[in-house]
Amino acid sequence: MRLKDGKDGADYEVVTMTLPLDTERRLEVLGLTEGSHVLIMNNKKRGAIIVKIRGSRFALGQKIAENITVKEV
Amino acid sequence: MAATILILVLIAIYSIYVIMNKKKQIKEGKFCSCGCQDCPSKIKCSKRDE
Amino acid sequence: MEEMTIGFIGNPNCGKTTLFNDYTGANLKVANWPGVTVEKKEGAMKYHDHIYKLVDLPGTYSLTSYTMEETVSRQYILSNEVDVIVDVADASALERNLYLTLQLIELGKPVILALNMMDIVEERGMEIDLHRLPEMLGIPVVPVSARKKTGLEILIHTAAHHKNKMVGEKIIHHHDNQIHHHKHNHHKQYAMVYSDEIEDKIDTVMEILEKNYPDMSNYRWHAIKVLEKDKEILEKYPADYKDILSQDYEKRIINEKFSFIEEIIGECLVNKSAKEERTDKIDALLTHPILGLPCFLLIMAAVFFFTFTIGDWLKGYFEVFLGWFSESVRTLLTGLHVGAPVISLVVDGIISGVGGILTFLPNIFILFLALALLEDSGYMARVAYVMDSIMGRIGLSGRAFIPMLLGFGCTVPAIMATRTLEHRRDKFKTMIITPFMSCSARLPIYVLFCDMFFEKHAMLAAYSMYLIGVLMAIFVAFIMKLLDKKEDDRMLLIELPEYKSPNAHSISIYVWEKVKDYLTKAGTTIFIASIIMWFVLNFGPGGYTTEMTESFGAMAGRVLVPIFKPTGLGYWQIILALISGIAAKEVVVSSTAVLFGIGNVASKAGMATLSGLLASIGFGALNAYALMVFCLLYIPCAATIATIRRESGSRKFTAGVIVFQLLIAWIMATLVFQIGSLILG
Repeated sequence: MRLKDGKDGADYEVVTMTLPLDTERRLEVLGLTEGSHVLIMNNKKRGAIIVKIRGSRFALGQKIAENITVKEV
Repeated sequence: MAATILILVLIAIYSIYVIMNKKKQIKEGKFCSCGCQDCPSKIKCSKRDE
Repeated sequence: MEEMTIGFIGNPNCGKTTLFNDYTGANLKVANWPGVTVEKKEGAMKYHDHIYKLVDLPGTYSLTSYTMEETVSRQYILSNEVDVIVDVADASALERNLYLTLQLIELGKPVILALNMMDIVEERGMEIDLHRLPEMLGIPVVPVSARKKTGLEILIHTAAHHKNKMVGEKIIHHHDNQIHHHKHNHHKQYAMVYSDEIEDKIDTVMEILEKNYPDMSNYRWHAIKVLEKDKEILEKYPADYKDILSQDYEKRIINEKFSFIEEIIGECLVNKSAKEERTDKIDALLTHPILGLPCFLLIMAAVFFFTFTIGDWLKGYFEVFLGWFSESVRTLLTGLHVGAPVISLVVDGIISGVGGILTFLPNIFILFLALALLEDSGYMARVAYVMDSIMGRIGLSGRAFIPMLLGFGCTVPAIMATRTLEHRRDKFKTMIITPFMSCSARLPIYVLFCDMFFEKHAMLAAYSMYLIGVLMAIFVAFIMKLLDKKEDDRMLLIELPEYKSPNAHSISIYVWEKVKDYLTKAGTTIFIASIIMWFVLNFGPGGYTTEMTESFGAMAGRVLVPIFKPTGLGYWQIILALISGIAAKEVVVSSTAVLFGIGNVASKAGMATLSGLLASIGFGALNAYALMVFCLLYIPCAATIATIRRESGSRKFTAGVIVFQLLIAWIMATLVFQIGSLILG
């Protein structure tokens, strides 16, 4: 499933990312690596999504969240 | 009369100083006269080390 | 005396600047890194007969060569200029911060890890094993709290003693469940050891490098960078790397670093799951899908409430002083038998103009204090998020809103911040809408005219200007979106730091900077503009005149009266003030003071005189509102124009922006005035 479709308060594991290389690298150095856990803090139907990656909060734009595949843990 | 001239000269000197300074700053790349704290090009305003 | 250089580096939001300020105070030397536009802050301190030069490196999450900041930091650390690196980490987000630490250790320079925000860690009931952590990393770890100023001496002491020590002294790993078959056992040598496959590749590249570049230092780091296909390193050290580069190892290298970090966290962090309840609670409200926006509007309203009430209260003292000062100067000059025109120039021109602006200093001070508080507490990043969902609804990205937020302070840096937008198209769009954000220079205009014409509703009237500005920006962005069907990338990526109580020291440094800028502006731009204004108003075809209506200024203003008639601004004095406002928006106020010959425009008496004079020419509250709308939207100041010109690199585009903004301002002011006239009958 896409990260964008995740539920608030649920923990997911990153499966793949299909984003431009530089965006993907930027996410990876923040700790959003494949197999890492993402906790959704706030997911609105539209717009950005707030997630917690390795203890830090980030707002991810809609396009980014739509292109990250995750699975439930 | 002397006081009048003195004051005019003082104002003129200060004005020229300000204008020259501004000209120099603009040449160095600083246009703004506003806050520099979060200006992405603030470093251009201060004198270079090198 | 012995001297040594310490470089400070860390993630954004780790409290590095606070720590740096603790040591150096405001005595900073700001310069730039050779050749690039990345800031270099330097300070010095003395401790136990040693002089320490402290260098603040840009805040960064990693040390790749994707951005200028990262490249600069990396080159500096690799150079011989720095003796010790202090890696400042937010201990409450250790897992993310350790990534940079591992990269720093690999660089092979002496590194000390400063665990900042230990007070917050304790508050949350977390515990960090300060014995085990240095064992695993092979570097000293010093707990500090930049906000509470604890551990500062120990950190400097450690740095002094760690000067010549490299990594690799007492690294002890357990690696319980891993069995390594690699030919070298690196675990005693390096903190970060990769999987056998990667280690083999590193060895291969190292051999190639050793053969080709016998003088290179730290082969291992360079080999890792080659495997990551680091652009800078590959360009600097070309070699026949054979088929090694056919694969991309960067992802795996990053992943393995994080696996090791997980191992460290597992062993060193106790009670990891402790929740940051405070931030969660605040965010539940401030980033709420529906309440987020009203909260933002309320917070901004509160900012203007304070700007007006506290600012006005302080302003009272300034006015008394200014009134006394201008009278004393007049008496003094008359006593010295100075000519009447010169007295007029000094008192009515310079003192009214510059003084008129200076009396607004308290309002400006409070505004920047409030903005600094919002920024330091971590709220500003949330605004970008809240706006993203609003703008997302009409198909726009919230990323463009980040430069726009800067626009509340000053438009020039906001325009410059559009550099961070990747697409030229987005850059231009943002440059068009950013000037609509009401910058601090427009505040004196609002304060003056609102206090004069709206009395009880002054605050509301001023606040509405900010809203009109934001709405106008969003509206124009929406129209541009309709005209330009190209899909937005919506790649917002921004950290939302934990909320914290603001730090008095960093805020005072920030606000002082702003106050200094404002004073400088009053003494330079406003000073010159006031003199020019005085000349324009006191000289006519017949030479010096005390009758302003016969001056060159009046003549020029009158030409434009028909054009401004529908906007309710068809008065030559107002038109002249607006023209002069292109130099800087505050000049509208100083010019008004000079125009109407009011020595102390911001005072109660001055305002009463001015509003009386304005009323006598038929200028009422509705005209005043139209004037504020016009000031909000018309051509930004000369500095902004110059910046747009330089950042866009196009004269045509700049001219287009000017015409467009004049048009928008004219249309909006006309709408306000005409509709208002209808309603008020």
